[in-house]
Amino acid sequence: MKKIVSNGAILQHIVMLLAAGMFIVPIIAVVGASFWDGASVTVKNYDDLLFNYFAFYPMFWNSILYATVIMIVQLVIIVPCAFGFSHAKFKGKGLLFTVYIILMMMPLQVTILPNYIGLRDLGLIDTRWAIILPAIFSPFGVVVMRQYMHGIDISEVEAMRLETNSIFIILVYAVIPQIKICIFAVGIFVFADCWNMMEQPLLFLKSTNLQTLSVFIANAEPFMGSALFPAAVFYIIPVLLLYGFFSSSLEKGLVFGELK
Amino acid sequence: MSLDEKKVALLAAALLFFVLMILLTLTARDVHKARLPRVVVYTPTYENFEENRRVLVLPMDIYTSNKTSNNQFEIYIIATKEINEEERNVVICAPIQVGVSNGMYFEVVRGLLGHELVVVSSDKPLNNGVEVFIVES
Repeated sequence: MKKIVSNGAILQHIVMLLAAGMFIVPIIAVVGASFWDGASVTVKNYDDLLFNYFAFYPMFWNSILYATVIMIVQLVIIVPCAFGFSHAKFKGKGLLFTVYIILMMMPLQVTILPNYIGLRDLGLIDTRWAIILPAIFSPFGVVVMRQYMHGIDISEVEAMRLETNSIFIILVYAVIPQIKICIFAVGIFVFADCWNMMEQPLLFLKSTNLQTLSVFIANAEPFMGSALFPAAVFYIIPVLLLYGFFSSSLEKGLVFGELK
Repeated sequence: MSLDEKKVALLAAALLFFVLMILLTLTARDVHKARLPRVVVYTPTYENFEENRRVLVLPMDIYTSNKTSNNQFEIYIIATKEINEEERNVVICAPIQVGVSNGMYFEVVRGLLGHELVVVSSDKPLNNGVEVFIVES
């Protein structure tokens, strides 16, 4: 009996390793291809990208700027929103949250056109605001964090309310310390989501110097095929570093309604 | 490796990566320019040559890739070409036919219109279509 369990565990490990391998194969392929010129191992592809294609740098920094600003502003909006949905009592709360859920379920292709019309009427097309403004009110983080906030110790919030009426102080001293892990987790998701955005820059931006790295990679092939894979490696690194840094928070932070 | 050690290592890697990216952003264009052939260019002019004929002339020490016959040269002229979404200077091989010379200049009979920038000298060998950096004209 013991031997059967052991064999089962080995089999499980093999299956899991194969599955993990399948996920990592594209990354290995991209890194491998970035050092391959079709005949030999070389760093020429990196040389081409870094010292011959200067549009890469503004696009890289644009991606960093958009993803960072959107992540920070979204988190500033998400926390009070989620706290309101989870603990405040007001009329129409359920209906408003249903609207949030519906918005979250809507595919990007449905919302992008109204966004475009709004931005066009505001004169914000082809500006950095065209990327930042529509993205900072994403409902995803509010829904995730609301679920997590159901598990916070409300007595701490009540105790703080005896000392102050300021919702800001209550959030900072009684709520945020309890949901730090969830904030990190949602922050990573928001950053990765913004980092990978493709349709919005393509539609809302025309100037090359405002575009993002994702657009650069999508359009790089006709100009410089050799530098495509190194660009993809540079595209992976920031998200990989962020994930590595907050991976433990990501796992714990998405356990809905449970606090460690 | 403990969690803290892992985070310190990742933080160091992230710092290194972003410092490297900042340095590359600031210096990549200069590095690129430094690796290009540095050329001196000359704009051919119309001069009074023998018997007051106004002809297009070039200096005799001009950079040539090939001397196909006594009066046939292949010189390099500057053209702009879109490379990686930017207008950049490249050299194009242009065959010219020359006429008489006065020791310093020779007359261009055919092959130039007069408004081109002609490469006079280069610190590296040139080939058709190579990107160059103009240091002086």
